[in-house]
Amino acid sequence: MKLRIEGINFRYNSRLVLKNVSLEVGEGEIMTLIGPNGSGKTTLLRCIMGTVTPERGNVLITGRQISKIKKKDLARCIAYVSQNESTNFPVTVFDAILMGRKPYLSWNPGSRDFKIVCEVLQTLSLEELALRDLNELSGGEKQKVLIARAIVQEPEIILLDEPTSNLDLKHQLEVLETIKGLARERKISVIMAMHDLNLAPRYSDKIAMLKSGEVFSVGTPHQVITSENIKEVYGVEATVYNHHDAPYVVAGKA
Amino acid sequence: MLAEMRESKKETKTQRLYSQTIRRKLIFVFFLLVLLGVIAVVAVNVGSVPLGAENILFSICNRIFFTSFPCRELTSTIVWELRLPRIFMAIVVGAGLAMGGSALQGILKNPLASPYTLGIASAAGFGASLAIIAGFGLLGQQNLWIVANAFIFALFSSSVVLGLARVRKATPESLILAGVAMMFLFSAMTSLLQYMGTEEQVTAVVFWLLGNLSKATWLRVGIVSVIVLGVFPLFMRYAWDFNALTIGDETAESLGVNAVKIRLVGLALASLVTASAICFVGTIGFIGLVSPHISRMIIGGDHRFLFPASCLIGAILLLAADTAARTILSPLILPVGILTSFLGVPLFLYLIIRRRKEYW
Repeated sequence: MKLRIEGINFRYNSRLVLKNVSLEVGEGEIMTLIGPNGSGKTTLLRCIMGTVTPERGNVLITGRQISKIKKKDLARCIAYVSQNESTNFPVTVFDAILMGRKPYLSWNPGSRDFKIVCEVLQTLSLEELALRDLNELSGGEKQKVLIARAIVQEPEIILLDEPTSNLDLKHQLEVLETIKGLARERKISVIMAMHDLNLAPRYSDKIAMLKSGEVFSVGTPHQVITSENIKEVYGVEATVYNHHDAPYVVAGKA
Repeated sequence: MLAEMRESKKETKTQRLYSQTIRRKLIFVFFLLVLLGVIAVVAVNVGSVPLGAENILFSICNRIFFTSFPCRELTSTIVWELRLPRIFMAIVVGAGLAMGGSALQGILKNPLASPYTLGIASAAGFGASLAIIAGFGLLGQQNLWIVANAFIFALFSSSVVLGLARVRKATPESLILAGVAMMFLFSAMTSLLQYMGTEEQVTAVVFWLLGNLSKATWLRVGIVSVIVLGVFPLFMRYAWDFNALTIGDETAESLGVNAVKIRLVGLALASLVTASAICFVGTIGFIGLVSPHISRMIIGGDHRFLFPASCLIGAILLLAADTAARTILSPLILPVGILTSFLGVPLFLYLIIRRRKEYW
């Protein structure tokens, strides 16, 4: 098992945000976290990447506790694609991606670093944009750049916080295809938080549904995306159809 | 070496283009260095006493190479005791303020931050006023007290801000708010002192607050240089961490950067540089704010190049401004702080009008 989360409790200003969360993600597996706003998805991602420490429980990567791994080594292992990254300063696409090599750099990037960046630029067809300013790109292009950065980090696990929010339909699919490719070809384990109940099952091996900080249901998309669960967690009447072997949700009324 | 060359032959087009941009940045930094040299040469030549280029050259050669060209004692004194220390002071103070500004803008993710954002300037101003008005120290040593007080209070202000940041989480917002609080505290206290001071004392305080390079001596140049040159490599070493910080704490952390540590250490170093620069010359405005902007406009936001480029731009701006301050109303010498403030205004208006982006 690549990633194991064992009974995490996390408190934010005395409010318990995560309650006894336990999950497992295998190598090359895609797990999607779904749940209403404030159900603890982002906090769970933060616990996994070690920026916050849970008050109880452990996060283990191939059996090693992340709290005992040095920051730099952890950065070589887990990459994170944030939801809305913005900067007030100019940065070229190339530099933004090169930043992903930070955990490997002593100071000056070497030819291997450049090579990796160029390869990723090619794979994600971002070459034309390489010297453009990151802030000039469209939402979809920018998201791809952030994923490119995560890739050059050569991680074993990638965490994404709502990678498709703010994107148009085509870019949503492109980004999710890219993520799926990473999992299948590079055997990277993916954990992402998402809101779209119809896209999530199509691109996930496993889905974990969170409700006020607890894992309400976890399993294959068919096991988790059911009208009972949706009613219970979101408080929405919904019908779930089966469409090309993936559950398809049509919401009724709240 | 050979292996490297073979490797570079396999470079893709993208990589070649990127290498070109890096080369352009290096050339720009080199160009700034040359420009600074040229302005320094001009600056030695101008002043209220015309000395003649030849005499100046001779007097410089005589001291450095122990030659014995014919040269008047007066020329030698003016060049070595007045103009050169002043020129070098402008260079190191300008570089120091620009370094502090670049660091603070990066650390606080705010293009409007300056080395004075944490309240350093008003704290230093209060320290100096305390020496001038409350008469700390004996008359003969008042100058020393002004310097010491300005330095101590500047560092005190930033330590309070850093201390608060350690208690709360050191986010850019909390740091800026704490800085604003310190700024108001010390300006109020300075105003109180001014209210109680005599007319002469208040004039002296105002003169100090404007900032001027008239009290440059080799010893002072030496002290500021040691600190500026000592801190610069540290900033350069953390250039990548600064790059990561500007895109957000969360991403920086995920890249293995200890955001809080870099922020606190960076602020402490920037405060040290700024305090040491302004304690001798007063609170010269705008250099620390404008230099990083100009530099970013031309070579982008990569701190590996931003630090050296903006230091050089700061040095160039302050030296040019001071040279102008010495000459426009000659023999009257204006406090350079007035000039740099004037300089800042059109530059910022230009930035707003020319750049269509919301940042630069």
